[in-house]
Amino acid sequence: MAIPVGHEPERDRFLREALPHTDVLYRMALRTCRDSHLAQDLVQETYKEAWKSFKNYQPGTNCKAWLFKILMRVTQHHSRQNQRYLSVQLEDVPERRLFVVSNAQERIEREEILEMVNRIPQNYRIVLVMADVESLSYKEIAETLEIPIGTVMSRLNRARGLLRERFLGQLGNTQTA
Amino acid sequence: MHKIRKLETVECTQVKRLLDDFLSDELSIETNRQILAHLEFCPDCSEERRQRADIRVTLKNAWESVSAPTELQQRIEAETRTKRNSLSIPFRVAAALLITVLSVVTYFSLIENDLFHLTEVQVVDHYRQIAFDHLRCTGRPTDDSPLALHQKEIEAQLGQLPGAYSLVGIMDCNVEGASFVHYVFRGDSGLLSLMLEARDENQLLPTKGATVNLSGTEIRMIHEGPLVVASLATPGYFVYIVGDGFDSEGTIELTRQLLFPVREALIASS
Repeated sequence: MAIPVGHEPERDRFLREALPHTDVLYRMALRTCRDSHLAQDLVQETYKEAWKSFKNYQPGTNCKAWLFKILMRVTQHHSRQNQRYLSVQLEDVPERRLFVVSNAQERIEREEILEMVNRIPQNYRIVLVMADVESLSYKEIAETLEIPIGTVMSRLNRARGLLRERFLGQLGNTQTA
Repeated sequence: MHKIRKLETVECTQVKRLLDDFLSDELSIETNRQILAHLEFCPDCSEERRQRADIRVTLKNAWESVSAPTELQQRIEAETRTKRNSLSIPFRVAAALLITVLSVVTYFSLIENDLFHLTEVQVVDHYRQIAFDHLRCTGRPTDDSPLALHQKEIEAQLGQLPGAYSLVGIMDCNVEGASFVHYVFRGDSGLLSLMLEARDENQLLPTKGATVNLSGTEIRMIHEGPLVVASLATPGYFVYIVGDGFDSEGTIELTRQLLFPVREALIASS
């Protein structure tokens, strides 16, 4: 018997819509807890929760933002239960590769960029990544983090300023060297 | 001259303050236009814009250079499979029973309250509402939705059903992650629901309950009595049957009369 018109098995729809965001969630989790195994567990738990509540997901809305919201909840829950993971060393930095800043032709190593981001306080870092890496709108970020949009904008302003300051400082050091 | 210089400074300050919002496409069309116009003639702000855009690209490249281990996706896929299989038959039966109980209660309350002066359309709408609401039906069909079109096709294929039964609705339903297509019929003997769930090849019928052979198809009686819940497996589907045919034989008979026309209609409409 064929599948009735307009009806896609829910698991297939879940995997099609949610699974492509695994990398995105993993990166965010990894930068939060700094432990690859724990990040994987957090992401797996996020998908488990997402699958359980998939009926609440509105098709056509931003699935990535919806998953981020669940990841934040899962991470906070884990963080409350176990504060120690924040001290685990970053172990998942892959081999060193170079990135070129297009116009300045200056080389900034990837690890240095990521380290600059890591040094930004977590509340600021999360909105920075959501906006400037994952391209979520300010409104989506506000909804995901359940904070006013004004707070999103002020944190973004601060985070961008900090990153720019460190980035340009690093460029200056490279040029001097 | 001083005045112009001052004005330019103010404009540059404003533009630089808004540059990140501009890059994030968070400004109004009018403000975007003003900034673009300013960038046209201001090399300093233009350079600042390029610098900020470069920082974003560099950050994005660095950030996205890390990927999740491949086994993580496999674990997630396995998790969703486990979740689906872990759904208990008793839970589904309970949900199905709830629908029918509430439907029957409402059916009789309509009689007791002498509400049958309602129009046929109102009564059918009421049935549809109570039957569907209890399985958290989603995607309530609009006039031109795929499910509404599907219903029209099915109705055309079904033709005249026995027992004055008619299809009152088709809905997408969810029970704790399990997805059904829910067909509700109403006729002389009350309501009959057929809930079709896509079936994995390795999923089997529940082992408890008596087996009834219906025209060569094995039906498992999950619950017998005035409310009857049964299930059967077809190659692509589990079919849960919930009927208030007043006794098992009556419900089985209704199922015999309705299930196969539905299946034929599904095949014909696909």
